Amino acid sequence: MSASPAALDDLLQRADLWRGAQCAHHAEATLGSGFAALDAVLPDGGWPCGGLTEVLSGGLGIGELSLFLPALRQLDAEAGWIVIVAPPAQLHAPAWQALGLPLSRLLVVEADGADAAWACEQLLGSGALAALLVWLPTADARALRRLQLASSSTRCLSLVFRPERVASQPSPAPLRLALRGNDTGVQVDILKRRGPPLAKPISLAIERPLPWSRLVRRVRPAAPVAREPHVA
Amino acid sequence: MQWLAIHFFRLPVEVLALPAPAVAIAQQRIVAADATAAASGIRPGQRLADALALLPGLRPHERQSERELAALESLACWAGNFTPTVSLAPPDTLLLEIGGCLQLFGGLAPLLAKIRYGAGSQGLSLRFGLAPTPLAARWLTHADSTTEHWQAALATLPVQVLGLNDAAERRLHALGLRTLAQLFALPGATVGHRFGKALPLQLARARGELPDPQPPFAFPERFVQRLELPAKVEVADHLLFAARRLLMALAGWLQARMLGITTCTLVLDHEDIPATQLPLGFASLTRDSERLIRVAREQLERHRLAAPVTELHLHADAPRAMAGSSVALFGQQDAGNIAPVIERLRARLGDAAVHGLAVHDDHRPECATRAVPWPDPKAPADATGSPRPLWLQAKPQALHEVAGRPTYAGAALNLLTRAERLESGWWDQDEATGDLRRDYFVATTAQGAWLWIYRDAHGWWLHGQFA
Repeated sequence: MSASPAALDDLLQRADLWRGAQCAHHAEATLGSGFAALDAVLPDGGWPCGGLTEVLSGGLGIGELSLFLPALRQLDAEAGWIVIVAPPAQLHAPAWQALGLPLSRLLVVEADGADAAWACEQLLGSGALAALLVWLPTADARALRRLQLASSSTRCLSLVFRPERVASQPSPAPLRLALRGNDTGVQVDILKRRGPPLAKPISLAIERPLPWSRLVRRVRPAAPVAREPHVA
Repeated sequence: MQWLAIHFFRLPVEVLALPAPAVAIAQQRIVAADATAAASGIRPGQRLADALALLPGLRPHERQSERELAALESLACWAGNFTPTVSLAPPDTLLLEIGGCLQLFGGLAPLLAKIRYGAGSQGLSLRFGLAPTPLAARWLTHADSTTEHWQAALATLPVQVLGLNDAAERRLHALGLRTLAQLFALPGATVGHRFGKALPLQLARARGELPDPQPPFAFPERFVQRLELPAKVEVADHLLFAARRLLMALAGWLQARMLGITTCTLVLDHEDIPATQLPLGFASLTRDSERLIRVAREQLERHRLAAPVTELHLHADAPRAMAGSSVALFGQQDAGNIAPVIERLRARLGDAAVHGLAVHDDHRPECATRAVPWPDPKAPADATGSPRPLWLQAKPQALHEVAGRPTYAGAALNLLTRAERLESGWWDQDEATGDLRRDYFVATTAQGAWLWIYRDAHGWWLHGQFA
């Protein structure tokens, strides 16, 4: 009888055993998110490298990329390529460069629908990626499951951006976040993680083009632009 | 010196790529039979009538010696994958000096497996012979022998490997000489007296007692190869098998000449209409046959033939010098091996769909980003003063103005900055962007989205998002 508590302790130390009240700990690599409050609630204390992270956001411009900027900046040249698949708008290169993302290791793949998912699978299979950012608004569970499988065998930060409305649909991604903008930053709600549900969303003061204090002050619009033609 | 002879013993029939069972014939006698025909007991030298009696469904085809020679030269190019020292031994044997490259391939067995696999994927059967002299290697292909004890193996070979004329063979038989060992035991002068002076010289060359220099195969200056198809092909998919032979030869040629290519052209000849050019593009300089074949497969799978194809040509366009690669130490992974995937994506999605970004020095936001086929590895990292959004709308989106303020999705926007005037561009007025005069603002919505909007003479426009 005396052996059984010891055996139980041994069992609880196992990496593949996850108790509902705790976060699962995997030996997988993670990438610090750059926000202490966020690292504290993410399993393994950072963004998972390998396995999908699904990001549901209400629209463009709420800071859906800025949230990941600290992590993306950490990726060094040896880590591999950063690939953006099916971006929702054109990428403005000066801004990406100014925010510290290396254009020398950035590739853009323009594809839509099934082609985008196929391209991601191929890219993940190459093992040459450090980060994959893909917009798949209409992907079905099957496509996501294939991506999750392809991603789980890599060490690539795989972010799938999807609209807010798919929050109720089941997803094979082990980590799902819902983002909302507010007056002081971005509100991150973890819909799904390998751990107990989060009590309430956390609010993060992410990097914005202007200090947050500017939000308080309003600026009056200037007079319309003059109509007279330019004389060269 | 270690000579590997590769005997393509079914080359006359396999070069024709006919559906099985098939035989190549000359003067109503069988020259070579494919595997199916050989399994039914059809042997070279048989009369065609006998062969047809054995296997009524047999497809005989007249032997085409010039095609065999062209195929052998193409195979010599392919052998450039393994060693730079290749010699032709027509009609159907290649001699490869492999003593210098065994280390590279990790020993004899992996090298032979690689050659066997490569030939198999081109639909060719082969036999090996391995010996320190080229002639012994050629004779040993008869027994498919790659043993270390080549002299012992050589001694057991039948005298038929010498390829003497019928009268001489009959005389050997009459003397009871069946194997080379028996012939080696006789004094050279006697053998020369009875069977001609050439035979003792040959025996001496095979045993390494006399030098036997081989003329090296000269890899051609330019790679232009053609392959006649056995029958008209109507589905592009089916061309891959034939294209594979050409592409593997190209890879070997590039390897032997230390070159790499970024494009090559597959030309499909039709009977009546002009030929179709199928360019194959690669993301980086390459000579890897797997990559060549993968891109060709993607292209051919998506290509719709205008007319049946009778012949294939392959040109290497502008090959450039490419250094060899070192074998990774301690099993390191090369993180830069994204190029093959990019090629596959480009082949399916189009060349423009996969690109890198470069900053262009222009104050107009539309013109500041350039798509480049491959990112510049030395892209400068500098920061601009004014805030710029990560996303830019391809077409600015009109915003309604209510009470002098722009609105987005029905709610007024909160402007955070003073106007930033971006003006002019008269120098390319006729082009898409042209002259502009805009006041840019950073604005936020009630939902917390940060937008980049501008106002011009026509009103308010949404131009980007600070994601």
